[in-house]
Amino acid sequence: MPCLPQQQLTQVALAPHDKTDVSEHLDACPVCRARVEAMRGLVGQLAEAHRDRFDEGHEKARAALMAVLPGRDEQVELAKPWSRIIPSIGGLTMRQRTVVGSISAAAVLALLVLWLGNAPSRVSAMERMAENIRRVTSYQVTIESEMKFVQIGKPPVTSVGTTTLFWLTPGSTRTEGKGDEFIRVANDISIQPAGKPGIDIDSKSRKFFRVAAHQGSRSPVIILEEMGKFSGHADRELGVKQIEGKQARGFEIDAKKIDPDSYPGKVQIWIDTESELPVQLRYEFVEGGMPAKLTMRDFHWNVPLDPKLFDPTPPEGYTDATPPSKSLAKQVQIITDGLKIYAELSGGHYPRGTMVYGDVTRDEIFKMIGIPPNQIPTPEQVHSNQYVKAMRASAAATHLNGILRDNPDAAYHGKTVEPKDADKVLVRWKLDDGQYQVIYGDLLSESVTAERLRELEGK
Amino acid sequence: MHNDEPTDADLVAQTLSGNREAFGCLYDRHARLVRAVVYGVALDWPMVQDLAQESFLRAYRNLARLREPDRFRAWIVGIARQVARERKRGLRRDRHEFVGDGALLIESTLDTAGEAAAADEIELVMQKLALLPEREQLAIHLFFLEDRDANKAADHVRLSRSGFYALIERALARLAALTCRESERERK
Repeated sequence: MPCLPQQQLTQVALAPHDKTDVSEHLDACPVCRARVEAMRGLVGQLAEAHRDRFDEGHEKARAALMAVLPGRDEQVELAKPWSRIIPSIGGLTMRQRTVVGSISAAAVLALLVLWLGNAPSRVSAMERMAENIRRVTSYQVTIESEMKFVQIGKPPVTSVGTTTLFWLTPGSTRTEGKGDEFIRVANDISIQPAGKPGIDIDSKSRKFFRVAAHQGSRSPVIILEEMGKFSGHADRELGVKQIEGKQARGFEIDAKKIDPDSYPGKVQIWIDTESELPVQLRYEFVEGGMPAKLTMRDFHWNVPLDPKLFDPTPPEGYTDATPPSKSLAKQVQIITDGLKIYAELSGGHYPRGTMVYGDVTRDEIFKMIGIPPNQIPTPEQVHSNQYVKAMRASAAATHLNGILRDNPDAAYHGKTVEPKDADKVLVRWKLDDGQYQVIYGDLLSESVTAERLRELEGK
Repeated sequence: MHNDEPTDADLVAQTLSGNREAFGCLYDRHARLVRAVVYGVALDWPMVQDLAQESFLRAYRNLARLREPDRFRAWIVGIARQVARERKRGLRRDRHEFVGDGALLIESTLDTAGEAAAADEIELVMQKLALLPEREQLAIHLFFLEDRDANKAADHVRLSRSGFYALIERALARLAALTCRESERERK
């Protein structure tokens, strides 16, 4: 009678009550019986070793850690690296979208085009500028962001990030970002070829992350095609001054006139009087109660850019760290849970609009539950159910934002659909199999055909 | 975890929005496992705490780079392994620091010779555990820190229950062989 293999003996030692299939052998084989007993001894020793040992001194060690955690002003890489934010234009959060979107290449184009017909006294200058921009085939620009962050028990800290943006017709982008001591980042690179999947490259950790093609809805602030929908007016002229050795004429416009969902603030554009192309753009706004400033400068129009700059092929030797995508069921669950929380806290409606943003939703809910947006929550608040719910609703909004951004057939009808509207489509997006995922006003969901969707939406 | 408790992803988001206490909660959840991961390369318990602290500090500083906040546990374990590897390299370079094979880790408050012998044996097992492949070490730590709940432990290493059992069985078999060899050597 051959002895049992070690692995089988281990199984027996781990699950002593489930040894029926080998108990006869063990009864008859003293060698195996001894080995099982030895293995049980080992398992017992390991259990004992893990019982309390790794808890020892926990509270003291915790206090020591908390005491040495860097303050926000000393902290590195706590905030999102700008170069990661850039490719998320219109993506993860309103803050990111505002920060990046408003200063993106498309934003400049959009702003200039939107002024057409909206400022009659300035229309000829704007028109010429817009035409010039439409003819642009490439450009490079430096983007500086200056934002304040609140800290616990300390004055707010100002952080500066710099990104170089390369743009190539018909809309490919490449960004290379740097941060300051507060937002210290590696020279990360983000590449987004027009209409195709892109890539984020973290040169520090030698990892890359694949990014979906951005084909869906975006803010009017950043999308040229959307500009026709704008019907506001430029507010005032700023006169003429020298910028980067060029004579420039300035204009100012309320950001809300460009995008009603943006943070309140002013956008200033300075235009080279000779080339009639922008020489500087500045957007000052308030986010979370703190002032922020974004500046685009050092424009180089129609510069020769190697198409290889926009090639999303991963660099040799880098590791693919792209997180796996969530299942459809999980996505639906995240979105419906978050929308449900929002409706409960808001008194019966979903985020109103056709686009949602994680941080805007979070701030709205903070307001609903009585946490000022520019205040760091106390530990008691953080552990409250309402705070946790706020964060879940925010995560749902972020996820939904990503769907609306990346999926050309996605739509959100938060403006018109409420929880009582069981038969109305609140959210929908196209699936890989050609069907549409639909979430109704009552947050029930199903996949439907395109034909059925048309019926549901009354088209 | 209770449904209303914040998930790791919630706590990561809160930390990123400036709430350090949220990071303290992450520490409460995962410090045991991190200490277990670095245990094998430490000379004494204060060093275990130092290495664990270093792991969490690195995590805090790099939190914005975490792409999957709900995988914080796996991420912090990865950092702890790296800290442990660096410590191991440091020990190789500075052999004069090596004073006692990890024996300092043994509690000195044991009452009887029997207890001391049992503690010695457990210490031997833990030393040998540190010789296993990292994945197998982690499987053992998870299994025993999760009170032998294979489902929970398997989830942390993204394995099926049966896959996890196969891993831990391999690890235990290897560990048994190592400790057995050591005992035989001592007998000789």
